[in-house]
Amino acid sequence: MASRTPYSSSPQNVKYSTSFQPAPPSIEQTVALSRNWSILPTLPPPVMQSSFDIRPLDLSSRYSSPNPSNFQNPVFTFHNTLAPPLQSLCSTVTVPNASPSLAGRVIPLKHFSASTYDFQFALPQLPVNSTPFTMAGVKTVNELFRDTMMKYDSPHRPLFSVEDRLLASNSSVFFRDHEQRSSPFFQHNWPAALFSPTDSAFYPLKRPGQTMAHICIERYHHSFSGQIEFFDGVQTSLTTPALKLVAASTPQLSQISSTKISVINNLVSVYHTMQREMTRIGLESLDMNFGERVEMLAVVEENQRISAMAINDSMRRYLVIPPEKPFARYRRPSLLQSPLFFPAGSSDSLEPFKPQRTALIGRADQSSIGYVCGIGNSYKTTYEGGACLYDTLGQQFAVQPHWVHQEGVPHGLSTVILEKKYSEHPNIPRAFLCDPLSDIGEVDAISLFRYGSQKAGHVCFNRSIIHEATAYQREVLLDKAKKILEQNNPKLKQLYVTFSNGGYPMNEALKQLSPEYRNTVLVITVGTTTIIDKDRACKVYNIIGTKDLPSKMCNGGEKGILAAKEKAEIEMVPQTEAQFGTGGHYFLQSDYQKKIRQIIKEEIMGEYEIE
Amino acid sequence: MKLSKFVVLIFFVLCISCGKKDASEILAEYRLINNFSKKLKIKTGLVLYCYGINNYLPKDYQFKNGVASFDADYALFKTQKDSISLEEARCLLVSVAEGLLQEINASAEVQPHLDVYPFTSDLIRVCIYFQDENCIDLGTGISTVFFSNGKIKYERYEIYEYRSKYPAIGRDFLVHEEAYSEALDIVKKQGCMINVSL
Repeated sequence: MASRTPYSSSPQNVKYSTSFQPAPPSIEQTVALSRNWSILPTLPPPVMQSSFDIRPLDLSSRYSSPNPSNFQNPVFTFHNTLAPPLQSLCSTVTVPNASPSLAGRVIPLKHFSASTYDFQFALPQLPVNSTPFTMAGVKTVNELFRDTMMKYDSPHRPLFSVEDRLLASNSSVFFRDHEQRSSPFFQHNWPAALFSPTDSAFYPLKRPGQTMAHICIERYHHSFSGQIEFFDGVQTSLTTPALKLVAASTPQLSQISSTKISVINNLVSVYHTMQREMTRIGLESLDMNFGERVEMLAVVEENQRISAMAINDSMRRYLVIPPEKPFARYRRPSLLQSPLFFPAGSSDSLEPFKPQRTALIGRADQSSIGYVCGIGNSYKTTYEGGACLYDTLGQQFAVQPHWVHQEGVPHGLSTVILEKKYSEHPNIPRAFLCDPLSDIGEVDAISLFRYGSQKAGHVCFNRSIIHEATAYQREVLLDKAKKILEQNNPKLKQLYVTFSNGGYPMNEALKQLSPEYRNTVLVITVGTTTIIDKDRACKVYNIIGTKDLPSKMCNGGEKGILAAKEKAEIEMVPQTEAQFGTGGHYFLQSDYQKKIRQIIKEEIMGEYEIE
Repeated sequence: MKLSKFVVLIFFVLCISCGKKDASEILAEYRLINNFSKKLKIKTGLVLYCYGINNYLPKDYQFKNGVASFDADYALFKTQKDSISLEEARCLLVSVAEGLLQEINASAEVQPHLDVYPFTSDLIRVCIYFQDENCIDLGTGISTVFFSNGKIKYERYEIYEYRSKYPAIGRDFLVHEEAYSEALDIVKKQGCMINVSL
């Protein structure tokens, strides 16, 4: 058992207190958050006074350490006088000038006021009352990997990078509640798929490996405290003083490497996802302790990837069909009758995917650019795409990602191909197949094929969400267009960047708008599956990579693209980067990003104002 | 998982069968840009980044013969420590623009489609990025030179946070702006024009 080294700082030396006027969360932020994290109840009006302390906390009663006196360490606490549901929101805005996009990460505050803290640790978007665990840890499967990662240092990067994914797929995470019940160990894995990284999944692990770091979250009366411990690979015991993120005066701050920050980012990210999924499937409100909930989530995750529908489906099957593995203690009759899993009248389709916004990247007071994702994207990868765009544009614009497609690649492909065929040949009879052609991605392609061949003469469509995506896109466009027209400023426009099949619902939605509304829209399509005509909006720029095979195929090959050139502005990007299978069809590549930046900078910024 | 791989494979095969011919093999204007860019790469190291025709025109533009504008973006790869001066950037841009113009006007294949003959420099649009090995614009000296509508803009890129991969976090700042005719005169005086066609 690792022993903890007490802090050398005396309590009186680490007492800091500051008061300031935190910016109240905007309505847009609040709405976005409450949409994405359904756990947030109606928010009370913001309280404008908040204070922070860094002071010792007695955590001994919370831990099973052999020597409780070791916990007489100063830890970083947020003293917040806000109502509990708002505390989480305010924890994102408590540091002056902190960008909401940085929420949920441990970040060095060198860009911010040096007089406050050197580090911010925030668990945004999580109400305090939904953090029932006391401890979460990151472990690596491989000791050598841990050593390498913990020694490795590089300029700070946020979570979205290959190294972080490598870290994530080589590490496991566990949680422990107040009653010392530990959850299983999870591997948070981003599989290296062709359309990578499309989704993440948790896998329970039997051999958790070596501990890299612990993060402890405590509720202390009305405060919220966090403690992070790093286990340096060079030493076998815990010798790194806990919580180097303590205070501005801590001399060791500079020793925290970006890797360690990534470790914590990873952990916080896992926790967010897990908490969100738990809430989504209704485990929060059931009579279970946290350990049981986590274990149940593990059961679900063992078979299915993490997505709302997959979880719902596997949960339903798990509850109805006796599983081969002995999870008998969860098969409670009360659960089988729970309206959480079987809402009235929707026994065949529980909580289907709905197109939605992800969290806004950037500040709410910035002009915002909409990013519409393609198929095979999860909440996370949609957010990642938006984050890349945000950085590409020098963080001058906020980016609002729109998650309009389900994660399943086969489902997405069948949707794209069949929708396209249908739009080209509208007289083809349409047949809607219901159950068992539900919205479960992996099943779709084969079912579609099988049922399609059985019903000769019919083209079979499943209950495609593309129509929902179009309707959603239309609402988004319409909503902003009305606001723009109210301002009576002809230069004011709404700007969207679409990737892949994100262009399809955009095109369809634009068709449904009147010319007056269309004239408020600027669109940049990247690797689009549908070239949008220049008359469809105020300005449309289509960018297609020469190695972007899906885009080329969906637009009728080279000849189709050249034919579309008569009605549309198209620029070709001779791509240098390509992936196996999809060629140059991915949003994050520099070729596409640079072109987007150039168009916005040279064509749009001087000419128009962005809403 | 197997199913999704199978579907992707089918899709991939369809993609391959669909995209045998490159657009530049079909369209003479694209072919012209590509051929010119190949010569340019040998002479200057500039790599074609993006190209097109008939883009950025007024919405109500009426075509006469079918081709009204050309645009091409290039990248010059350097190392992170390198720096490009305004003079170097000017020479390079004017050389590219003049070379492309010469190529367009000399092409018997493209000439019948041109709306304006002889084609003029205000109908072409050229952008050159100076970037490092990570595709990030150079943080010192000129990072981008952009020519459009007869004007040249020189920009520098201030990097706030450099990461090992694209993108960095930074912003562009306009350093200098001048008319193309002025730049052409300066380049001619300096004698730094690169003849791409030779």
